[in-house]
Order: sequence, then structure tokens, then C-alpha cells
Amino acid sequence: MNNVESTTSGQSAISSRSSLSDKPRIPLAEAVSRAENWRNLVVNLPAENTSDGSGTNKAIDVSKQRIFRAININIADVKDLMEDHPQAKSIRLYLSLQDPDYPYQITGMLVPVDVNNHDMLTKKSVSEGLMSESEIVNSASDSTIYDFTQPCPALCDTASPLFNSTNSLENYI
Amino acid sequence: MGQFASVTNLTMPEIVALVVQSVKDTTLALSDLNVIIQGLTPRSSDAPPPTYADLALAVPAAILAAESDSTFIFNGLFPTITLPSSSQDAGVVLGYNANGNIQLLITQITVDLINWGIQIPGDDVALIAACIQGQVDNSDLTPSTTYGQVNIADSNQLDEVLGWVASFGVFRTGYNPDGTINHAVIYSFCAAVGVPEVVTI
Repeated sequence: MNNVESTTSGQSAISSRSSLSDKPRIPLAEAVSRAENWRNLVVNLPAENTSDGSGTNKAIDVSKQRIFRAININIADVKDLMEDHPQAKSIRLYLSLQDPDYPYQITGMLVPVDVNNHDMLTKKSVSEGLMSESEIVNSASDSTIYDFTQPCPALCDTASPLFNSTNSLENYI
Repeated sequence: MGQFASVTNLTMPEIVALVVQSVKDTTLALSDLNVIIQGLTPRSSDAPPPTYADLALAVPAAILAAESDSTFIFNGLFPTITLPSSSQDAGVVLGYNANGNIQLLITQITVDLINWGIQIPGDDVALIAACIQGQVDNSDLTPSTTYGQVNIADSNQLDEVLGWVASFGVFRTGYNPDGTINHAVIYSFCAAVGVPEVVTI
């Protein structure tokens, strides 16, 4: 595996020395459509099977006010993460819920990923003998799982055609 | 845009009284206010906010959520600019109409900036107002936050900017006899001048 970059998905995950202009991109019209598909999916998302054993799915009551649309990531924070983890190959964003009783407070957890597609989760390792496994997994300062993203809502561009497909394209093209 | 009921010149009980007076459908208003409270309470809070069943409690909670959100977002977006605790306005816009008269918003921002000792050209204030109004008008009842920065051309330090953040949530106050809906807006606005973070990758 020397100098071989392992990837697990298709074209969009292929990393090479190509320029940004060579990367897969999406026409704006298709992006608007894709974002609308996502919103439609979320508002009609089936819940878990009902407890009566009927197996019937019920829709979760996700009003349009609560649709989770996007995650905002500061460029400066990405830069800091890159400086802290120069050996990282990519950044993986995990979706998370701080409290399952509040399903609309979706947040992102950013994790640096090494060249072998392994999440880089902590600064310390048990093999160093300095900290126990319990100490490592419960330490925020030794964690490399970052929490500096902002979900939309609430940090949105509500005028964007990606926020709402009926929004005007005028200020974006 | 509507009539501003701001914490800068009204007490919270006075603002609550004005909102209660304007609300014709309490259930509808509470439903939207709870969405605003849950949507704008910063996720760093220890516990998610409760669901309110009383307008007199929900309105201050929504305003507080907007204040907390705008401060939280400001500090995240402008880490090198100190936001004085006094440089924050919040309240309710009563009788909000989409695409309404922007001059009321321009006036409110102008008054806020003067109160905070910040001077920027009127054209820049108008641009901030237009940005905020566009975001509010398009929010479709989704509580949201927007931000921006303005170069301070006349500053002694040429690199200084005005950073600003506005958090808002439109809520329905009731139906008219003809079936149209009346709205109001929970809002918070904060701004401060400083040297912005420079990012080079």
C-alpha cells in the first residue's frame, strides 16, 4: 500500500494532484433540484416502525421550519485543523445529536482522516502509556473531534436558491 | 418592515405586553415561538430549551435565544473582534410585512450604531439593512442568522472592519378575517469594530 491512497467510494473521493477545476461539480440548476429533493425527503421521512407491531411507518412531524439543510464551516477553523493535523488526508463530517429528545439540534463533528481512511480521533494513544483508555476517551483536550460547525438552521442564507428553490437566482449568477 | 419594540428603549414587560396585545392566535404564535427558541438557542448550551405554553414566558425566552445566538455566532465568526456586551439590540418587530418599508430598519440600525459609538456611512447602513431584510423576507418561518462585515475606510487602522450579526425568527400572530396571516419578528442585532481574522491557506 506504499504511496497508494486508499478510497472507498467513487469519483468524488478520488484524490490526485489535479486542480480544483478538474473536480466533479454540479450545475446550479441541478444543485437547486438536489437540495429540494433533500427537503422533500426530510419532511416525509418515515419514523421507526410503530410500537403496535403493525410495521406501518408514520411520518415524523418535521415542519418546513425545522428542515436540516446545511452545515456551515469556517474556513479559518478548517485552516486550524489542517495546521494541527498536517498528516491528514481529508476531513470527515459526522452528523450528531447532542440530545435525542431534541431531534432538531443536529450538529456536525469534524474529524481529520489519515491517508488510509482511518479517522484520527485522539492526540494520545494507550500504547504511549501516559493515559488510560478511559482517560483518553473522556478528555476533550486530547480529542481531535472538532465541534465548530454551525447547522442551518440557524446559520443559513435564506435568500439562496439552495435554501428554497423558489428564491431568485438574481443575486447569485 | 414593521414597528420596532426594542430592549434599548422598552422594558421586557412592555415588549411582552405589546406582543400579547398583537397576538390573535396564541396557539399558532406559541408554536412558532418555540421553534424560534429551539432553533436559536446556541447548541453549546448545557441543555436544550423547554417548550413554553405561556406567551409571557415564550417571548422573553425567544428574545434571549436570539441574543445568545447572535453573540455566539459573532464570537465564532469574528474571533479577533471584541463584542462589547452593550453593543447588542434585541426585541420584536410588530406588524411585520415582507418587502415592507426598509427605512424603519435603516433607522433602527443607525440608532443602534450611534448608541454603540460606531460611525459608518449611510450607504453602508442601507446595505446592511437590505441584507437583513432580504434574509428575513425569505426565511419562510425558519429561524435564522445572517452576518456581514463593512470596511471602515476612515479608521486610523485601515484594516479595521465593522462585523455584524443578526439573528431572527418570524412568527405568526394570527389570521385576519380574509384568511391572510399577520406576522411579527423576534430579532437580535450586534456589531463591533476591529481587525478581522486573516485566513490564508
